[in-house]
Amino acid sequence: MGATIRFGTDGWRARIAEDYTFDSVRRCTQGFATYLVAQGNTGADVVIGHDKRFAAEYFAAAAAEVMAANGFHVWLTDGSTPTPVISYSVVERKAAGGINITASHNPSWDLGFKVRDERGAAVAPDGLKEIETAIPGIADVKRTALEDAKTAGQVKIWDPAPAYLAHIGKLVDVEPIKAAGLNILVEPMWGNGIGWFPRILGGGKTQVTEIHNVRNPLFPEMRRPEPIPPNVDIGLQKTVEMGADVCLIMDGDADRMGIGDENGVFINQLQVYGLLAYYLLEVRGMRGPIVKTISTTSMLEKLGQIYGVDVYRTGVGFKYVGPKFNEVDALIGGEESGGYAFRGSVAERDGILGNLYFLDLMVRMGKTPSQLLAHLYEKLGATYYYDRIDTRFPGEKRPEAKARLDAVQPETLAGMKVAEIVTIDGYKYVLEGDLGWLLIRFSGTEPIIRVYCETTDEGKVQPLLDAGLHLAGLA
Amino acid sequence: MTIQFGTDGWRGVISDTFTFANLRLVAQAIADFVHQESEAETPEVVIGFDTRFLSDRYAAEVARVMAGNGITAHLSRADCPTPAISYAIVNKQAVAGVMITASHNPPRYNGLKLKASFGGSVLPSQSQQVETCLAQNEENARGPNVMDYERAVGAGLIHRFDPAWPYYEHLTHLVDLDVISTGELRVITDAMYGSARKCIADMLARTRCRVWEIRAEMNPGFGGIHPEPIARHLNALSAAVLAKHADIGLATDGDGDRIGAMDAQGNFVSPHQIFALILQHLVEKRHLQGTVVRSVSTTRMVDRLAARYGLPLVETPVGFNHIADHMLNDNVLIGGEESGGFSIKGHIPEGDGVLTGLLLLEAMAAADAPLYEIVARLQADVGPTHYTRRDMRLRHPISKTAMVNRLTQDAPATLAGQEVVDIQTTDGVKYLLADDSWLLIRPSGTEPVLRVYAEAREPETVDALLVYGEQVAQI
Repeated sequence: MGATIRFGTDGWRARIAEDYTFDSVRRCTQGFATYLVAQGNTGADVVIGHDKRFAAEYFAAAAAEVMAANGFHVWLTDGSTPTPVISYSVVERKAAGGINITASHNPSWDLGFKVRDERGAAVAPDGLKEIETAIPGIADVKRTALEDAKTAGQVKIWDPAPAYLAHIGKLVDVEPIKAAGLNILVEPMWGNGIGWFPRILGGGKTQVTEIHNVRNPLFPEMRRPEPIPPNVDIGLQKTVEMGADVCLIMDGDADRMGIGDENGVFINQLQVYGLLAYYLLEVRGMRGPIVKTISTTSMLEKLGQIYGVDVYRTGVGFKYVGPKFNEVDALIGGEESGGYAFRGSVAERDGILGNLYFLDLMVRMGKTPSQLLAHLYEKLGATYYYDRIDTRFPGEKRPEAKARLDAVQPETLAGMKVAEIVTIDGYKYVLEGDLGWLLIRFSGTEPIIRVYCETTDEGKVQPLLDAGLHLAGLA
Repeated sequence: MTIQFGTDGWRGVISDTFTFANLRLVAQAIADFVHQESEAETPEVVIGFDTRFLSDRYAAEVARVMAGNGITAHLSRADCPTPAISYAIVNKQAVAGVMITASHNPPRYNGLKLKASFGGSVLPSQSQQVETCLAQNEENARGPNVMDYERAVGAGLIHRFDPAWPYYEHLTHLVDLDVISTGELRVITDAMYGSARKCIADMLARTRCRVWEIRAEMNPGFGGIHPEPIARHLNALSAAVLAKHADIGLATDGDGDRIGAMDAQGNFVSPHQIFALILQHLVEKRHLQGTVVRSVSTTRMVDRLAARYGLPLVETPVGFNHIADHMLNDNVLIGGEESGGFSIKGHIPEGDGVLTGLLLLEAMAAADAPLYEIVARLQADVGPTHYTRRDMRLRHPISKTAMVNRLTQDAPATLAGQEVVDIQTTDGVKYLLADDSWLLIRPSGTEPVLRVYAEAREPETVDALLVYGEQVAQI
């Protein structure tokens, strides 16, 4: 019997060679197999893929051996595969579920185990609980040697790319992008996004250059493959050196994205969300609800007013966005960390499709990224400024801080009137007259408190953050 | 028990058997062994690590266990070659040393090498001691004593140090940098992403040579190669040599105890040739004397040179520990083996790729001729020799003794038209032919692999010998 394995909201992540061992992966897989059988999926197809982290392909093979021994028919990817491609493959293969060996944007010494349901989406929390409960000791794990399972046809190694490429080919016409003569820099952060843009956009006038595009499981030149500063600094610098028109950024497993403009300035993920929503509503003329976490931009509410579409707010984390996205048949769903899902595809984040849409926006509008942002602000009638502070906050001080935040109901913040206090997740103070908001949240996984704000008055960013720290008892 | 501790230490697949939990058990057994070996109240050990995935963390973990057992651990600050750690043991008069490395193995492996106070691999009796401790601890369910890292540093039980500079200082006594300087050589060093990176370049910084380093960055995926300096993995080196019009390319393996070389034309120079060239140089230019030791699978060119110089020659089984035995007890001038591990008089009894590379440069500079030319002269002088080794994967492990007995009894009278003049059983079976050609058939000690080696005057004869060897070995 091994140690207890806990599935967090995005599956299980642990340190390689400490808790993350081949045996642990086999046990998790057995738990998932048992769960799928209990759901009535005996003998169904499953998809298994992995990222470019250390030994990820071997862990995926270990998972395939266990699924095969449990009577499933396994589609095992023939190499590292972006998370959105794995999610799409689950749907395309009509599989009962999927396993993705990835630790997304975590540090290099971690790996993870994500599970997907038959729609390619994250398994809901009560499902994760069931899987967790079904995880046995190593002695009770079934296994068929990979070679035998391949010979018996229980494991098929296949290339998921053609089907995915055909799928996104239906969502966006890449020919105008190829013909546009753009100079594009791609920063895949040593991850699964490597090679996709040269493949999708190659052969036309548009030039695609990649950096950090070999496999190096240490992710050099960045803290971790997370598409925010300072991890993106080298890519932004290179954008300027090359005179590129745009820098497309993807995180380690290519489900999240970021953008650098033609001047090497980072366009944050709230701005990107605003631009992508504008693209779908205005440029593509589509209509449908927008789903957003409360920690992302108010530009969406404004766009909702302008185009007459509903905007749904959820707690922080894509686990809340995905179900809502399906429920309301949304046009777009997203969070402040740069993960966006789109109508017509899977209710999961997709960094490849998001970046392609961004390029399409540039080409159709004939504007650079910085011009696009200026154009959006003009349309919205305001400029939006955002900042965020993450501070260490000991867990034992949390109840006291919570009690304080529950008790204090400020009427004004930084001289602006509070219109509404939203407590879906943390404490969000919405300011009157579309002036912005302040959010105070405790991290679910680390002893950290996050203070976020967005405002249309640049001078109010710092005062708002200070007010937030003060409310939390930190200043 | 999943841990197989042998004379070469312990090796395993990361996250499979090579886990932190197992490493702590091995480290505890080593700590017990250190206390058995030393009367000192606080014995000292040296700990180093290579560039592999998690090697630095594994090394720190070993240091924590040493500290937990009241042993002072001199822990390297950065990745370093194995010979630098072996030298540090002698230099610091430590009881033993631990090197975290899987040498030239594929990337998914890591390992632990245990070094004795004399700076070479531990004796079989010593590794037996560790094995016994390991088994006893398991039997008594005695867990490892682990001290918190920061506490151990504070208590002076973990001491970070830089093994490179004392090692470099020592090498200057073995190599004549002034002679190398006169060569004004253009050198490419290829660390194969391993831990001898920077070493040769650092040494040559004191000379008039120009150095370009390739594959010197950290990449625990080793860019898809195995860090073994054989021709198959050195395409990048020969390309760099040609591109830079370099005089020589020097490749070191994953932990820097082996060497491989390329001449200015991008042709592989074998360890056999390197051995003969260095021997020639040490005797003819440096006027040194002493026994020549080579493993059973190494070229007879050195026998011919030793005979000419009137030096004793000793043949040993495969494995540097056998050469080390002679270095410790006799007046050995040079010892080496086919895999590219060499050491000389005055150095630790251990293969050293950095030292060997520098000695080869010294021989080139002293000869004042291109490497391909001195290799051609060598061939004309004590050759011609051609050499090939083939590895055959066996379906089942075979009994070495039975095979040796059979091949000794059924030995042919002639082979490839030459009389078989001697049959040696130092390690496997070696047929020695009248014209100094030979055929060696040797099952590997650790894997179900059979190695067949042949050296002859003509390439055709080599092929004929190998074909014969593969045939009789298969029966």
